[in-house]
Parts: sequence; structure tokens; C-alpha cells
Amino acid sequence: MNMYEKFVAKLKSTFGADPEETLVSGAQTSSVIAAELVLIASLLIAASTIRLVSPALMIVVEVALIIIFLYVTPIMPKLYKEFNDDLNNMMFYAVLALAIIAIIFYWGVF
Amino acid sequence: MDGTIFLPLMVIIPIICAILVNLIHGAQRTTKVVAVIGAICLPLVPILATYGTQYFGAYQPLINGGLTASLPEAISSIVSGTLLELFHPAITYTFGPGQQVILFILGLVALCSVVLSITETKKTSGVYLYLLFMLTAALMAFVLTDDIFNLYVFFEIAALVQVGLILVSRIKGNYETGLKYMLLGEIGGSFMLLGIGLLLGLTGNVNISDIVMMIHSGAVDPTNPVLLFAAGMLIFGWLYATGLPPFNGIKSEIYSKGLPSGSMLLQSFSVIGCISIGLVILRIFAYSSTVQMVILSVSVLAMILGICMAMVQDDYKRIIAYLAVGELGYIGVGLGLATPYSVTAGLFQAVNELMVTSLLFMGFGVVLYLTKTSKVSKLGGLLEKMPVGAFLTIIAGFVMAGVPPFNVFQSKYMLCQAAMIAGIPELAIIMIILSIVTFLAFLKIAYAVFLQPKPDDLEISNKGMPKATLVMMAVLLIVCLVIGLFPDMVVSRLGYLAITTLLF
Repeated sequence: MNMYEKFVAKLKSTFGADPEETLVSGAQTSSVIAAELVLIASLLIAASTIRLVSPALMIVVEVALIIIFLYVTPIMPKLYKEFNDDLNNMMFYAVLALAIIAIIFYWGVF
Repeated sequence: MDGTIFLPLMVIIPIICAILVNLIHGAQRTTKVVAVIGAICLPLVPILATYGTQYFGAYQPLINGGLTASLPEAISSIVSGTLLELFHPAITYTFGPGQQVILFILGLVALCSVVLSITETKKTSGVYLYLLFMLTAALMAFVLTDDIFNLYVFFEIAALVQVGLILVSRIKGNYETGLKYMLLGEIGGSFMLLGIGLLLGLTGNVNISDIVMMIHSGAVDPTNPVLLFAAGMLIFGWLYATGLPPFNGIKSEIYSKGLPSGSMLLQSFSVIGCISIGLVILRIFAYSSTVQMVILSVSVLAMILGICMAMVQDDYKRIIAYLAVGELGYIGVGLGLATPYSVTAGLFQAVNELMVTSLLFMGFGVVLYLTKTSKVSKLGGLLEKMPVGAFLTIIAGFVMAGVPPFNVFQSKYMLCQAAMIAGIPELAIIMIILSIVTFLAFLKIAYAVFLQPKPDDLEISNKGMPKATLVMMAVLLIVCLVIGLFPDMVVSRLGYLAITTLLF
């Protein structure tokens, strides 16, 4: 099974209850592939701004991101499932963000 | 006549209209007339108003001579020459060139929203119009107020009204979405109030200018951890108001559960909340690089997530909603870079997004009106049914993607320039890539809805496209084009607001 077929199989399992019965259009597949590539490219470019803090840290983060992407791709179907309008998920991420912000600021970083 | 009398009227007029249309909702014709007259006033009043300051209750700072006469001499001698003389004892509204542009565009969007709601429903609902006017009043107050607690009060009013707009939409799942939005609002709003409380405790003030003065004069230590913690809480409230991560999911959900006229104002809340609360945070904490870093990080994440998620959706309302969240990231980048040029660019992007996202909600609102479905996979062949509407909607999509010569091209170009000037070209590259993807996402909907063959099971209403909607869309597109061709008339005014934010 080549990479494209694996991707389509993943999409079928994401968008339909029964992967055998689900049909995914070419437009939808290409949209998700485009989103996947943009997500990876944008995050890698965004991570390169860490050079302003520390070039060494930037290299570590970039390498870590590349390794993560190699293991977790395709990401977009997972993200689609994660943003599923479930209140529990929303609450979890809201509290997580609050904790991160509180830690950053209470640490007194100036 | 002193034009500053119009300052409080910008908030009072929509509140009076809201109360009136609710009271007389049984009389259909009168309700419509009152609503349309009130809506026409919304963009007109900011044009007629003169730049200035409104002190509620006429309580001016002591230095202006407001209360000096009534103060005992002993107290006057103590107060004289101290910061107390400069404090604002009452709620203060400030109106300058920047506010004028923002309020005019907001008024225009509110006018379109009211007219749209009247023309697209068989029976005009006084309650629905009440909600539209109340949300407009809250948003007007957001832009004008110089008092952080007053801003919070209108923030809560706006949050409640938004839930109302979702509840009356009668779209499947709207009650659940309204409840979720209220619960998440409890978290966002409460922690924002905590931040305001901490600021009040440290500075003894809720007036934003006074808080800034206290910090800049050294009366409060800017490195105080409690002050920085207050910044964090305000940023968390800002994330909730704007719908940046982690609140991007609920924001896109509420846009999709509102009627098109309601969604226009729901997204206006996000945009106006983004700039008004964002500017407050910048004014108070511009000295903190941590604040700028957090704003930038969240904004970049919002852009990437919003636009990538838009590509995956099958519901055009969801696609527009996610694109709107992504576009908010651009505004955040402008604010986060915190230079006069970048903040001007961010404000310019905000003004443009107010119009463009409204245009898309109007255009696709017609599709919903004709087909009763928002699933992209179930649509097709609508170009034949609504050729003019399709043309205007496709142009609106091009505007959002930043195609020249429209206004969004100018603001995105300015944002890219601001990122380059700030020494972060990576941000410019990301913004360009994401603009291209926005274009792709829009092409996907445009092709599916207008160009692909009509599915056999799709039923299209014979009612035709409401003429008022066409006119409103054309007016907004003309404004977009004019601003795109002559950006200086808007940018110069917004630049004044940006400079006063960062320097005073």
C-alpha cells in the first residue's frame, strides 16, 4: 500500500463510520493533503523564530518537530477528530491554556 | 453645536432601539421602521461626532478644574501637583480618528445585519432585533471606553447577547452550543475579571489611562509578579473574546449555529474584542516582552490551525468560521509585534475583516436561504440560480484571500512589511503561505457550491435572492475596493490610534 492509499484509508476511517462503505472525494483528499503540508511547513517555519531566543534551542525544537511529524503524520485527520465540538475537550484545552499562561506569567518572566 | 454630544449617543442609540423594537415587536411595520432608522444612525453618528472625551456625570480630572472649587483648601493643597490631580474620577469615553473609522465600519456592518434580518425572515422578530442592537451597543462601548471595568461589563453583556443570538437561530444543536459557550465564557470572563481585580488592587484604578500613568510614573513596580499575573489573566480573557486557541473550536461552532445576520455580528464581537482588549493589554503592558511573545505565539497558532482546519471541513459555514478565526491571527500578529506600524497594520486588518467576513456570511447566507443546507458535498449548480450573488460572493472570497486591489491585500501587505521590519521574516512567509491556502479553501467552496453540477437530490427554493442583500453586499464590496485603492484615508487615522496606544 503506497502513502497516498494509506492517507485515503485514514481519511475514510476519520470521516465515516464504516471505512469500507465511505467514499471520500478527490477534492476532500487533496484539501486534507494541502492542509497537512501547510501545517507541517508553517510549524517548522514558526519554530525557526526560536532563533531569537536561542539558536541552539531552535535546532533542538526543529529536529524534535521533524521526528514528531515522521511518527504522527497524517496529523490533520487527528486534529479533525480532536476539534469535535466536545465540551470536555474544549474545557481541557481551556484549562491547559490557563495553566500555561499562569505559569509563564507567575514565574515573573519579564 | 458641540459634536462630542454624539459620543454617548453611539451607545445610547442602539440601546434605545433595542428597547423600542422589543416593546413594539407586535407591530410589524413600526418595528421594521424603527429598526431601519436606528440602524441607519449607527454608521452616521461616528461621522457626525467630533473628536474628544466624554466624562460621565461631568466628573472631570481635578486638573481640568472640575471639582477644585468644591474641595476644602487643605485637601486641595495636598492633592495639588500629585498624580491624584490627573486621575479620572468617572467613566470616560475617548473618541479619536482611529475610533471613528472602526465605529463607522462597525455601524455599517450592523446596518447590513439589521436589514438582512428584516429582509430574510417572513415575520420580523423584535427579540432578535433587540439582540442585534444590544450587541452593537456593547461593541460600540468596547471601542470608546477608557475604563477597564466598564469594558468588562459590556463584555459580559455581549457574551449573554451572543448566547441569545444562538438560541433564537433554531438551527439544530443551537441550545447545546449556547450552553457550551456560556460555560466556557464563565472560565474566560471570570479570569479576565480576576486580572482586572488585581490591577485595581495594585493601582487603585480602573481607568486605563490612570493605570498606565501609575505604572509609568513608578508608583507601581512594573516587574511586580502580581501585575504580570494580571497581564496573564487579561490575555486569557482576550483569547476567549477573540476565539484564538484554545477557544477557536467554540467560536467556529457559534458562528455556524447563528443565522447569517447574527453571525455577522458574532464575528464582529471577536474582531472588536480582539482589538479593544488587545489595545488595552498593549497600553498597560507594552513594556513586557513576555506579553508580546505570548500574543504573537497564540496568534501564529490561530492562523495555522484556523486555516488548516478550514481546509478539512465539509460545511461552508464552518469553513468561513475557521477562516475568520485564522484571519484573527493576522490581527494578533500586528498587535504582538507592538510597533506603531505593525499595530496600525493589525487595526487595518481588523477593520477589513469586519467587512469581508460579513460579506461572506451574507453571500453564503443566501445559499442557506435557497437550499436549507450548508453541507458542501450536497450543493452544486447555484451559479445558474443566483449569478449576481455568486459573483459577489466569489469576489468577497478573493478579498479575504488578499487579492489586489482590495483592502485586505493592503493590510496583509502592511503586516508582512511590519514583520520584515521587526526582523522576523518567518512571520511574513507564514502569512503569505496561509493567504494562499485561504484562497484554496475558498475556491473549494466556490467550486462546490456554484460551479459543480447540481446534485439530483438538491432542492432549490424558487424565492430568488433578496434584492436588499445584493445591495448590501455591493455596498460593502465597493467600500472594500475604495479602501483598497485609497488605503491612506483609513491607515492615517488608525495610525494615530496605534501611536497613542503605544506612547501614552
